[in-house]
Amino acid sequence: MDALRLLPILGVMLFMLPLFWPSGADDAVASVPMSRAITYVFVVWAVLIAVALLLWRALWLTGGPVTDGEAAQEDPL
Amino acid sequence: MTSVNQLVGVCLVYVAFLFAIAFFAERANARGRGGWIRSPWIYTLSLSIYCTAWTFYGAVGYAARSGMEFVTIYLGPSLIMLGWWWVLRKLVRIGRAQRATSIADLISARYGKSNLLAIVVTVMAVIGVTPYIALQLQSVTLSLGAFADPGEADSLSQASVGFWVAFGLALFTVLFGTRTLNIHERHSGVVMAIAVEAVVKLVALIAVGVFVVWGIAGGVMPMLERIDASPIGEWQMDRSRWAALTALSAAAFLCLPRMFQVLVVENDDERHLQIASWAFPVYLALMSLFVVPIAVVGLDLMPAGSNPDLFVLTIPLSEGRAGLAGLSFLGGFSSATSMVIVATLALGTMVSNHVVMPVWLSARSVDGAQMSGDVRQVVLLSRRASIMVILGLGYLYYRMSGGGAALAAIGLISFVGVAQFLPALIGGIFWRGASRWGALAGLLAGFVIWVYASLLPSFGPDGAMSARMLAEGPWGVGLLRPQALFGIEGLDPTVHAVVWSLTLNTALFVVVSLVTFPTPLERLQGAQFVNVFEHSGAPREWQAALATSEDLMIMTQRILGPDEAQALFRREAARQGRAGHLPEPNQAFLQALERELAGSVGAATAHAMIGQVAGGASVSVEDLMAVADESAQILEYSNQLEAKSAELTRTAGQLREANEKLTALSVQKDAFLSQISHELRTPMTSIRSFSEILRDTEGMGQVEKTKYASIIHGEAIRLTRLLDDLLDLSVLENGQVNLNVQEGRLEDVLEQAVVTASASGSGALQIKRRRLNEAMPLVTDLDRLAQVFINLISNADKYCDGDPPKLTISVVDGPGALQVRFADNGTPIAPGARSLIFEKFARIDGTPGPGAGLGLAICREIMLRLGGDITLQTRPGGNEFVVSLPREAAMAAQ
Repeated sequence: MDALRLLPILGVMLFMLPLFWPSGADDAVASVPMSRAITYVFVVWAVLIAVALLLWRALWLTGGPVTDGEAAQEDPL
Repeated sequence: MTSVNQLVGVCLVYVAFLFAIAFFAERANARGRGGWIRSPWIYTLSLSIYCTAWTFYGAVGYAARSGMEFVTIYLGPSLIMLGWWWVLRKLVRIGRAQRATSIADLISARYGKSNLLAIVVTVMAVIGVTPYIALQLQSVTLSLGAFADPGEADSLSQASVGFWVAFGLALFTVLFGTRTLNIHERHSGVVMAIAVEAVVKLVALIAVGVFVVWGIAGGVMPMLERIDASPIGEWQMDRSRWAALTALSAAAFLCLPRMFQVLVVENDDERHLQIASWAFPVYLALMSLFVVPIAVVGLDLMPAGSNPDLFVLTIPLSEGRAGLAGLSFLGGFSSATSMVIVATLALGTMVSNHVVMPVWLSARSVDGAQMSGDVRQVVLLSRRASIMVILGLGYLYYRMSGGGAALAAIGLISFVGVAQFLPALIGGIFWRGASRWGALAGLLAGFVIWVYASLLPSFGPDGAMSARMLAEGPWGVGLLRPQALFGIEGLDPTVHAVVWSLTLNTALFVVVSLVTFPTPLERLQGAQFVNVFEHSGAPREWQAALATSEDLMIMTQRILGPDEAQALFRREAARQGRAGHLPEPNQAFLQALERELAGSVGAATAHAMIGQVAGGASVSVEDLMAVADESAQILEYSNQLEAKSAELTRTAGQLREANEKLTALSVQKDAFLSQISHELRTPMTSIRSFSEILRDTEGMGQVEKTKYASIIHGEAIRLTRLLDDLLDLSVLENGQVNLNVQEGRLEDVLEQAVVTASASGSGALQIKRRRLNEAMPLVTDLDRLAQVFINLISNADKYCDGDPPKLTISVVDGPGALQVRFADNGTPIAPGARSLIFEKFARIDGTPGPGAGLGLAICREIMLRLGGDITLQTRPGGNEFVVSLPREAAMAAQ
């Protein structure tokens, strides 16, 4: 459950990492080539999705926090 | 070359196909065979209405202009979905529990079903989404234009194309979405259709991408090299935009009315959300995977100055792939139509539920909801009209903004507009202190800044604002320049609008919430929203007695339709165990009915309608208790628990003590029984023996006869004394004793006791007294007191094993009581026996003597009757019995 909560925070950190890359505007440092940027973004994306998938499977197998019965209870009519 | 007419034909066929799908899906659902329609995959695909024509065309153009920045628009929603546990789970649960029909409904329900708030949110949503709808019109028009021959362009004036597209979409939406009034405001047919469209646009974009990567560039590695060599081949980013746009897209994902519709309203099962949490990011990643390659190849191949927004179409066209271009056009068309359908549907529901219906109701407030006629027709009509009006507004915006701006820029303006709901929404579901006025103030502030800093400037210089005002601020006040508020310059206009509007929005929301006090209904709803996982009861109460079932029936029929209403009432009557079809209008029924109606006309309207029939809502003390501050509740509860547990511990201790005492007493009693039978048996035996001798022996002398008779007499007296003691004790214990209170002096009582005790005693005991201290007047039962003293003295005489045995009698005039102390020099009584010696039948083990163990018990009973006490204090050299007389006994006599 905690992993589920932490996943988006990890995602935010990883996706905000490009903020520290040298940008094209800075002449002093060679900027990151676009191909590497694309690869980075999509690899991070894929990893996050894979982790989410695994967590979902674990949740599913253990019965999960939301069951049909629970959802049905709210519906009095 | 595909002609425009052909394309229009394809579009019509495609629309007819979608209509058929929607129709069959709804029919299957109605027949109860719609299990597959409600699968998590359909739910995930329906979320894809996030990806509009802006995504389809605009993302490529965006990438061609600013590199990887376009991806932020997808990262935000991905993060929200990955973090579904935080916000979406709660939002969906609340939406289901409250039967929210739209985001305006949800917000108004949270803040005490305030219709004012609902209207504000609705108006803001309509204005905020209008640019977005214009965007879809623009993209369809542009894409059609891409197919037109240069010579054809005149005949195909953009304005008329835009008009016909808008008209077609409106017709489509009306036919699709407002055919019936749905109880849960769920549209299985529409959802099915947009799921199909989601597949079409994904396939189209991937097809173009595959064609570009493997067909033109020749593989992945050459493509990457080509990307690096292109004009956007270097990592260039505006850092503030990267962060702000990610946050903005995340906010918009939650707040867009159409996203709320598919995420919350159309959600059938909360578990679907779990699957969508990873499946939807997959969809987004796939949608954005080929964006940069397409943009790079487009920049490469297309002549300079061609519109990068249309690369998805123009690349296949220029390569002579008319089929691919057609598919791609269909993908863009799908994106536009699905977005417009759901967005106008959601907005139409909001407008009719929160603006038209309340107005209509109040206009007929005299007998409003009970009038004859079918409200459903009014609702449907207002919804259809709203859809038309909203699309009309979109068209107007499209015409006014000149259709010139880049697609992505228009989309972002919309995003900033709807993101203003975020503080009220998130604050509403996580913070119980959020109040209606706070939400209202925040929304309005954010909205005003958005209009001023983002929407109006979007019409271009001299559009809605003069160029001079843009550059120098109104009346030349530099601090109020629309795109550099408060003199902060150099920010990107979008970032600027996001930062200022959301900051002020949140700040006002929090501050006003802190200084205002929420109404009871608000607190109630707040508790229900924030603690939706803990309790989902329906706390508000109607004064049920005022409503009659017939009135309710008439009203319900007109909203749900006769069949639905009768079925509902019959079900409810059956549950109440009543015959017939009219249930008793009790609290539970009214609340259930309100929720049911809310599914059709929104919470605020349903609340108002029931209110008309049932009179005012009342809030009971229990409800208020329920909303009382949670920590206070917990504190009180734990205090109660603590007190209870302390009490229990105390009681358990007392019980244990009592039990030990009982056990010890029981042992004592057993011992006594054997003792007393022995005590009784001994005199009885001698009485029997000597009386037998007297009876049977002949010729006995007078002296012998007298001797035996004396023995019999003595034994009988012993028996009598024993029985007297028992009787005395029992009388004392039952409180039946009559005290003979008289005046006297302590010294006389002691004197009498000593004399009496010595007379019957062994005479070995030495008694020391201090007569000076004994000169005390008394008012008490002197005979009983003397009995106690006698008992104590003769006990000392019998049991004191000192050599020689001594007894010291002293009188202490203490502050609380007058104490008479009897101290001997015998063996101290063992600690275990001390608490027992005053009990009945108590005898110290192993001590010789004739007593039955009643003396001290009688003494204590007497002293308690006299208002005093008798205790034992053990000293190293012996035992000391302390007889305490109450102060009054001594004082009264003085």
